[in-house]
Amino acid sequence: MSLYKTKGIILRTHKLGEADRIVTILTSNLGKVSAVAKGVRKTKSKFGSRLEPFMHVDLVLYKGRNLDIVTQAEIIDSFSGIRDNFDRITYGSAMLDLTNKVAIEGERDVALYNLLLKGLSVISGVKKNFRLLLIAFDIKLMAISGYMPKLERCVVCEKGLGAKMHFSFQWGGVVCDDCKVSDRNSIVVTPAAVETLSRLLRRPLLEAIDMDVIARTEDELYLLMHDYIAYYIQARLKSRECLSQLACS
Amino acid sequence: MSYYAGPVASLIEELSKLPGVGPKTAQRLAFYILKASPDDAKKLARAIDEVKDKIRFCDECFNVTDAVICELCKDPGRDQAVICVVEEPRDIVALEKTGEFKGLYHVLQGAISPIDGIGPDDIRVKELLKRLGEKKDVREIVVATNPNIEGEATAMYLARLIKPLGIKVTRIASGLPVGGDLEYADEITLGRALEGRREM
Repeated sequence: MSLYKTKGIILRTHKLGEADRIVTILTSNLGKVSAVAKGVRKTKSKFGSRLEPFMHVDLVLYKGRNLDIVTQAEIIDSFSGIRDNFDRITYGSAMLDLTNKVAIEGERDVALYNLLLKGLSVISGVKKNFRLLLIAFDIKLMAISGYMPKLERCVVCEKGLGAKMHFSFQWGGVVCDDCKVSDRNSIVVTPAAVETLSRLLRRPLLEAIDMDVIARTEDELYLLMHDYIAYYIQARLKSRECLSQLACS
Repeated sequence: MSYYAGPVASLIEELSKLPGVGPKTAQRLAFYILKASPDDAKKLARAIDEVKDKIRFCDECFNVTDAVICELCKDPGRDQAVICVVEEPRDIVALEKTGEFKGLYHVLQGAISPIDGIGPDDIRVKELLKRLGEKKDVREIVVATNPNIEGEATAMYLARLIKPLGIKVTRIASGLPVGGDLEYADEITLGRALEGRREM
């Protein structure tokens, strides 16, 4: 029997067969793991809510040939505040979704694990500023994944930035007015947006919920982060589509 | 390359498209049908044909039915003032078996699942709101979506939309399954069981 123990956060679940689910877990030491939870959809399953998305759990898994099998699960933190609020679920799902896209199977990533834990613990208590919190989470996640944007000076000429600045996805940061020609796809950004983004990047996640950012800057940042993620993480983030659908209705 | 004559091979192929049926099971089923009396085989064929032909969604509640309005919606004996919202038609069957609920139903045909990109526009929420707009006598909405994250999200979304209309929105209770052991219950379930305790 090859059993192993690990801690992890449930990123998502898929239905499998009659009563099973495949759960995708971000583990503390083995990267992303997909495992089968047998009978978890039955009312009397021993797992109950323990393998639901957002759960931080202690797990015992059995090494399978293709997929591993979850044999035991204990809750470390259920982040129960998330389940009680619709916005927390939708924005929290966006965090899980992005994490799921960047996490790699079998590759330990402590920074990502800790960021997600922090993100979930912060969002399970917030009542406002969900979108700003998500932007902060996104930029921190991109940074630890190796896509930290340069925001202090022009990426190309390294000189200070004037009042007019542009964001270049290709160069991964802000470019000054003189250098914008080096990337034809660069877009105009406001100094306020760059300043806010750099603050979100430097300051702890918790501070994002108390930050006062005008709606226009937040809208601009949200779109900028959306495009930034799309440029580097070439995967469809369905949770974001759902967020835009909700924003429209 | 197929070792079977054309019609047998195509039957096996079609059967193996069913969920949980692999090539071997499909083969076994095909040979069972081959051996069965022509009557039984025709009955099966007709049943499949009819289900695709006649079954549709009820215009009122979106349950599966063979009429424009389903039997449950037509029944004058049912309480018109209470609507129970469920995810799938199969959930209606489960609830009906309890014999505890005498109101009407509404089938959402799914649940909001942000991570799968399923939002309120992808399930029958608009239809429910339209129904509430037309039927002025509804007093209560019982949200009986699954007690998982998708079901909870859906329940909270519905409550947010419907409460301002002055209609009471209730959620089915969650707690310990009858016949289960308390020590095996997870924290969330047990917490809710305590929250929803009642005086004896």
